[in-house]
Parts: sequence; structure tokens; C-alpha cells
Amino acid sequence: MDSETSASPLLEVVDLYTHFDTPRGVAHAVDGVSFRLERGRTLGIVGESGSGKSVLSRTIIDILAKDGSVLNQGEVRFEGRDLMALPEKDMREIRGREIAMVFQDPMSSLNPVKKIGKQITEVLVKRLGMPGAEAKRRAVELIESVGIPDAAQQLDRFPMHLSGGMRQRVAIAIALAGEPKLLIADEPTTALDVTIQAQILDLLRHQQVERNMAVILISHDLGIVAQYTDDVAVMYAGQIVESCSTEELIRRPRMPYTEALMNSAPNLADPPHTRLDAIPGLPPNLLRVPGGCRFAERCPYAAEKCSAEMPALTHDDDPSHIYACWYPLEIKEAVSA
Amino acid sequence: MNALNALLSIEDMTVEYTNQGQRFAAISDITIDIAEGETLGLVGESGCGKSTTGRAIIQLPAPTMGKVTFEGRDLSELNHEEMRQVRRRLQIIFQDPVSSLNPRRKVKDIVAEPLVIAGMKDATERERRVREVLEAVGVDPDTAMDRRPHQFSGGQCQRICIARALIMEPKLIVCDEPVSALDVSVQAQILNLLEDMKERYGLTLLFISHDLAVVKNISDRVAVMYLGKFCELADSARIYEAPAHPYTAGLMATIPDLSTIGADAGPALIGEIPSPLNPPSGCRFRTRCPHAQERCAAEEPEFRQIESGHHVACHFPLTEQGS
Repeated sequence: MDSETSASPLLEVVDLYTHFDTPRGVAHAVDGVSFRLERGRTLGIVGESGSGKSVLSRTIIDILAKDGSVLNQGEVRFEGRDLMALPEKDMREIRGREIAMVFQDPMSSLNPVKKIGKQITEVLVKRLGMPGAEAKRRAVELIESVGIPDAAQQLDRFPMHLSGGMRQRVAIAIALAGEPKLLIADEPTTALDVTIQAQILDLLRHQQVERNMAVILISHDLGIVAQYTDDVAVMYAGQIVESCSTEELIRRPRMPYTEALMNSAPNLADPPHTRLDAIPGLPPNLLRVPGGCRFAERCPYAAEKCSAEMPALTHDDDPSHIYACWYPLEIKEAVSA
Repeated sequence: MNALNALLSIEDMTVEYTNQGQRFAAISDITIDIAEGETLGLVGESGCGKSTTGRAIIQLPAPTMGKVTFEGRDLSELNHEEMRQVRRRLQIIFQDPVSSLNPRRKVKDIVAEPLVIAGMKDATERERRVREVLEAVGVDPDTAMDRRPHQFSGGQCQRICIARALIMEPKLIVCDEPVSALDVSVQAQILNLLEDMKERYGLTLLFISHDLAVVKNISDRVAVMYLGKFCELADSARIYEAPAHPYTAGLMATIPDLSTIGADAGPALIGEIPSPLNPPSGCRFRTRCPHAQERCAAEEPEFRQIESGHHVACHFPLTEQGS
């Protein structure tokens, strides 16, 4: 892959490791992850709790603890520059400007004692060097663009005066203020009601298209990821175990974990009391990850080789569909087309 | 709506709270029966009153107005001691299994506690019962009994909560968002377990959740709540096939469905749930309803039966518009 050319992707993560040094041992939170994201594309990262999806996003924008408890290795190339090698001073320029992030709990990313107008203009003045009056005008526009009514009045309100959905809209407005090339949304709707969730995801999609911004949407909910992304990476126990276009993943999953994840969620089309295909057991303890395939213990198809040897990511005819499995599922068209 | 075999009847129940000096109704005037052996799903967004309903049933707190009848007895007329007796047969499990368990106690003591409170003195018999329910919920008693809650995952803690609820051999379990804090793979385990336990112990369940797909899977009938009132009640299969209330239809459109990838799910419901301190006049849903007309603001729709077993509170139900 030639770097520094127009062919280089917006973001390229190469063999990334994030381990936590804990009193009970080293936790392999992110364990050798590689992926690339082109400009203007939406990538979903799906996985259960402890799969490493949130740690991965925090590693990319480098906001994990700096007390030596976090052990990193690998490369995070953003427009060809390795962010892992950047000094914190330069990283601060990138964070919030080139790469912005929206978190699950909007209250924790908003300043509770600062008016929301101020929180937005701050980004505009500090990051973009906009004069105060212009920043104020722009803040009204931003608030409007995220679907908050009476924008001008809202600027003088505090986060506590807003509902959860409105707070998340404000958080998105702040994230968009720096006109980022990449927006990372980490479970942005998990704390919200279902009707508000749909509104926020529609808003994100609208902004993504309008700004031709790349988005990484992190979620535990495969349904959400499927609805709102172009490509998807499935994470399990710190690793990407399958990655391809979203449509391909839903129609032709190759990794048994992906299939299990799809089948364990209740399906609205099924009659009441349909027995769910639960995945037995639990994900492995990240302090003591097994040597072979990390899903082997819970996999209905596992054979001896699976627990002995870790499968590398591989592909068949289609090089864009990669999976880590010794005995991948047969290609079958999904029943519902 | 008084079925002969109703295990639990709620009649004209209202629960009021006070917020900053203002009284408001978290649930207003709801009436419903739960038949013995059925699973009734209660679904709605936060603030709709679904959890308040679940708690009012076990009288925590007791409803402000109206009546809850369980096994033929009006719970509001019971004294403290009588209510304690009834509560054994009327259990509740909560959303966050970890915080529902005392972190300092061992699993065997947590699960045995209801027996101790009920006055069972025989420790060997208590242990036998604890082992039995732990095994029933899929927790190995030999390894689990002497451990404390933090040594278990969320899913295992929910199993322990279910064991604790089961040990008194209840008739009815109120399940308040029991799988919302769990990963999907574990959620499926717990839903399957609840179905198994229902069969094995002859339980009746009130299953409260914001997740329509989960509710459809486990329920025989589903009641949809909005701002403290029912808007629709029907058989589980029926309500998903032919939702009559625009709110139910709107909720269903928000569920991302793997079989309709790429298809536009239709417009999301606009706006947010209004404050219960100041509910809209007429139909409470009208401020967000795509079909609202003048009549909806003027007149509150009655919760009426449109077909056998299918009730809806709407002046213009979708099923009558031929759409």
C-alpha cells in the first residue's frame, strides 16, 4: 500500500495492540487489529461488551490513561501520518478537529456548568480560530443543523435543561464544529429511547452524507450497524474476526460467531415463544486468552484444531471479505432477500 | 375486561408522584388483567410508566388510587404482615442484576434469604432448596454457593436473581427490563431460561421492556404504554402483524431488522415524549402522531375493543383506515 498518495485511505490501523497492565495480569483488550477506512465511508464495529471495540476507538484518538498502565503497539495512520508517533501537542490539534468523537453518555462529554452555546463556540474559536461574533452565528447554524428547535435560545441553556436525546444532538453539534474528516460514534444511542435512537442515527447519516465525512459507528447492536453502515468489522475478544461490506456480512456470514450473533437476537418476523439460539458460555477472560480461536469454546462447529491454533484472517474469491476461521460457514444466500 | 381466570387484576390504577411541589400522574387510570399462566408484555419508552406499573403491583409504592387484586385479594386492604405473606408469591426481578445483589454476601445466603425471612429454620433444608433453584437456573451450586456477586458476569448475576425470586415458589414474577443490561448472546440465554422456568414452575410473568422484539418473543399478549396510559393491547402476534395505534406502528418502524437491510425503515417518530407534568390535551400521543386531527386534541380517545382481545386508544386506528 503506497502511502502519501491519493490512494492512501483516510485511516489505516495496522496490527494494533492495546493491553492494560492490571493488578491481576495483562488484559488483552485490543489484540492485533488492522483495518482501513476510506474517506466518506461508514464503518461499523460490532461486538459484545469486552470485545475491545471501545478501547480500539479510544486508542485511535489516544485518550487512554498515560500512567503507564496502557501498553500500545502498532500503527494508526491518519492521512498517512502515524498518530501513535505524534507528540501529545500535535495529537491535540487532530482530536476534535480532524477526528471527533461522540460517546454513549452525552452528559459525560458535556460540561455541566457551561452554557451549550459557549461549549460550541469554544471549539470554533480555539480550533478554527474563528472570531467570536462569527463563532456565535456558526453555533446557531450548528444547533439548527442537528435538529434542535429554537436554536438561538438554546445557546443560553445548560445541558441539564435538555433531554437525553437533545444532549446527544448538542454533543454531535460540538463534534461537527471542528469539521472533522472522521467522526467516531461509540454507542451513540445506547442510552436513548428507541424512537430517539432512530432520530439520532438518521441525523448522523444525514450529516455524514452532507459533509462527506467518514464515520466509525461502534455498537453492540448488529441491527443498528447493519442499517447505517457501508462496511462492518465484527470484534470478538480483542480481535476482528470478520470484516466485509455490511450487506455481504448479513447475507453471507462466514465466521460462526457472526452467525451466532445474528441468530441470538429475537427476530420480529418470528412467532412469539420462538426458541432463541443463545450462544452458550461467556467470552474468554481477557487476562487469559486461549491460544487457539477465541470463540472455539462457544462455537458449535469447533474441532480440535480450533482450540490448538489461532486462525489468521483469510479470504476466498472476494478479497474484501475477510474472516478468521478454520472451518468457515458454507456460503448460503439469506432466506429473506 | 375481567377474565374469570385472572391471577392479577389492576383496576383504575393511578400512581402519582410529586416533582418540585407539583403532583403528576406517572400512570393514570389503567385497567388490565393478567391471566394465570400467561406472559403479559409491557412495552414503551422511558417515562411511559411501565416500571411504575410493575412496582405498584407489588405495592412499592402502593397506587394512589385504584385497586390491585391478586389471587382474589385486594392488596391495598392488607396489613404489613399480610402483604409480606403475599409478596412471597409476587416476586420482582430488575434490570441491573449486579446492583440487585448484596455484594458482601455469598450467593447461597443471598438466595436463601427469602427462606430465612419466611422463618425456615432448618439449615439443611434451606441448602437443599438453594441447590435446587441454582441448578434450575443453570448455575452450578458447587462452585457458586460460596462466591460473592462480583465474581460473576452480568448474565450469571441475573440467573442468581431469578433463583432468588423462584425459591419462594411465586405465582407471578414482575420482570422489569431483565435483559436490557445484558449482551445479546446472554440475553438469549436469559429469555430461554425464563421460558423454561415458566414451564417448570407454572409461573405467570409481567415482562416489562423497551425492546419490542424481545417483548414479542416472550409474551402472549402485549400492552403498549405511552405517557402513563395504555394505547394498545392485543395478542403478541396480532399486535405486530396489524398494529392499530400509530404509536405502536411508529415504535415498530424504529427496530432495525436484519432482513430489511438497505430498505428505508420509514420515517422515525418525530419529537420526544412530552412531560408527564403537563400532558397534551386529548390524545397524549397527538403531538408526535403523523395522523393527528382536530378531534385528537379536543377529545381523549377511549381505550376500546376493536376486535376480540384487541384494544386501542385512538380515534383513527390504522386498522380501520384500510392501510
